Amino acid sequence: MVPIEPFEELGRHVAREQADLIGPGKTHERTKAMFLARLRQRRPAKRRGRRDAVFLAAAAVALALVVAYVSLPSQRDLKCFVGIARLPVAVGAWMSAPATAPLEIRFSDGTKASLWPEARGRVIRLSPHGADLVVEQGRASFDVVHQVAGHWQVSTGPFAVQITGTRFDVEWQPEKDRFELSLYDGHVRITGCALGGGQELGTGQRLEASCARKEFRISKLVGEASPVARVVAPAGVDSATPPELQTKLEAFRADLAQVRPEQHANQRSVSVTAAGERASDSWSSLARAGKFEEAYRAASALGFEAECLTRDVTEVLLLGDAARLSGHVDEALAAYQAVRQRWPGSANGALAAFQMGRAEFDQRRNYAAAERWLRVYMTELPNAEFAAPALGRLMEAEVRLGRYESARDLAKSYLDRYPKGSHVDAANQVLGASSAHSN
Amino acid sequence: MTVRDAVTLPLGVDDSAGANVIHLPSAGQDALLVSALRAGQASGAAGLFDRYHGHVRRVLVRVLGADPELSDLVQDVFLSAIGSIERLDRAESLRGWLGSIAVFTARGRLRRRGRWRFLHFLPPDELPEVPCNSASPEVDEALRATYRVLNRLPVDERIVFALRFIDGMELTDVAEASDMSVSTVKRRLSKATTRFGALAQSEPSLVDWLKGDPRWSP
Repeated sequence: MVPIEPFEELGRHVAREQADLIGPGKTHERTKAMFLARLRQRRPAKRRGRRDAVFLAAAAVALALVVAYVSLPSQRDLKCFVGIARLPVAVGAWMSAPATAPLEIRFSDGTKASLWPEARGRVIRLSPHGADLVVEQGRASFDVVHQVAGHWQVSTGPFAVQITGTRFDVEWQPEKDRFELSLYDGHVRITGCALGGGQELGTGQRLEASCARKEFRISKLVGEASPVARVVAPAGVDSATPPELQTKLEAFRADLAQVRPEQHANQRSVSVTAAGERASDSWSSLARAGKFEEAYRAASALGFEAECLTRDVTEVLLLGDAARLSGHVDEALAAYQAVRQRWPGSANGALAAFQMGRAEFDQRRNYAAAERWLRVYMTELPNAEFAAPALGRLMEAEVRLGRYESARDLAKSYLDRYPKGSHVDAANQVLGASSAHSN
Repeated sequence: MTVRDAVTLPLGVDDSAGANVIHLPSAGQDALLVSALRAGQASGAAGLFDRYHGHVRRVLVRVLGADPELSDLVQDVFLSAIGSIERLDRAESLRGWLGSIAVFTARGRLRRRGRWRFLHFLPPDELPEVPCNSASPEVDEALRATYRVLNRLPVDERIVFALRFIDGMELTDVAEASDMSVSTVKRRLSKATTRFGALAQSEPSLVDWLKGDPRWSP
């Protein structure tokens, strides 16, 4: 018998172990939709027109398939359709309007949204009473049908808009750091960046904001009708929330809707037993002693989410750290999200963003999410305690994402600001590699 | 499955390689695809992707291993193919041609990775860290060790090694995919196995695999 060549045998073993990475259908529809979108963007303008319609149909079909594979919402959830053919929209799938025409998105309650030409967005959550949408770039119009329990949120860049029924246009131009919202009907509440804990806007008003300059301006819309004002939405979540956290956050949001932060102290005195108090103190002590796994288990025994909703900010951050450092990343992110939700615009909220960036970077290896959260931290607290490591990690995340130009700029900035920082060697190497690459 | 069944299948047949894949008569379908692509029809792009997504993804995975950019790289391959479809001489070569674009794309990715690999050794920042258990234990250690070793091989040696031994390609197919002559492939393969065998001695999970080869046995 001829002995099997060891390399061939090892190779076959490795190939078998890679089956999950290349199995049939693996991420196929999602990748295909992104590929078709990129292809369409690459087409020369003069050849668009008819092709746009064809590509739009293909992309919409892909979205419909993603719905079938990925997202089967409960019957009570709103349904969402896109384009003239009104094909179902997959939660999480990107939609791009062609260069020459808007792309209409309709919901089963009559709410309409329209991505203006070349705008890009997606629906990241559907519920019985509304939806969360993201406008990544460009302008979009919304006509949200009022419901008593309506809950809609539109996130764009570092800003979030909460509404229950209204009509408005919103635009985010990341390259110009320019946010604009024109409100034709109703009320909205806008949070994020320059707006801190939130800014109310009424019918007939326009808000323009710059995140980098930390300024905003409200002016009157000229020549627009001022219909009857509508209902203001409940407090929402942070604009940079990654979609994968939305489900978990919904549970938090539902709880928060019933238990407002200012009520927590009273509720605790009624609902938490003496033994429970001791257990709470116990996990806190364990975490402070560096016994993170034990602390996590003790907090979980009490109800991890309840602890996030009832403890003070220092302890919720500590609970997040205990979960993160014991490897329970989902719970850690949820705790940090709770901090950002309960104390929006605070320094602790910014710190939570930094910790989320670390968790995404170190434990999930999700460098895109890490980059987003680190930027949130640096925007909210540019000169605070962890500015140096945040900048260093942001540089590293950009490298891992293959965005070398941005990494090079961050390396320069790092060396300017922190010439004795722990990432100095890395920053120098980034600049060196960048220089070699350009040569 | 009869030939009649096969030819009535839509263009979008995922032929992601694996033991269970039935290779259908494809020349006619490839010719239709190429015609559609050259005519700029959107259905051609979607059909090409459906039909060869699995093949392209497989080649990339074999050469690169797990890569966070995999989805983008798959797209890059198809975008590149569509952008240069006029350069494809014969429609029946479509599959091999896509494989060579995938290898070319992977080669570029490897060179970029190598240029920036030092960043994997960034020092930890000042906050205390403890090991977490979120690493994926289901990933086989031999698999990881194999790619750790491959990471230390010259790019072209890595490519021929991965295509020949992990993907199981014939030498002629390796030569076509990597745009080399068969003799060059043989030469690089010889160097690659020598180097791999030596480097694998520092990977306990690989030592047993190579015991059968007298070159690496004590």
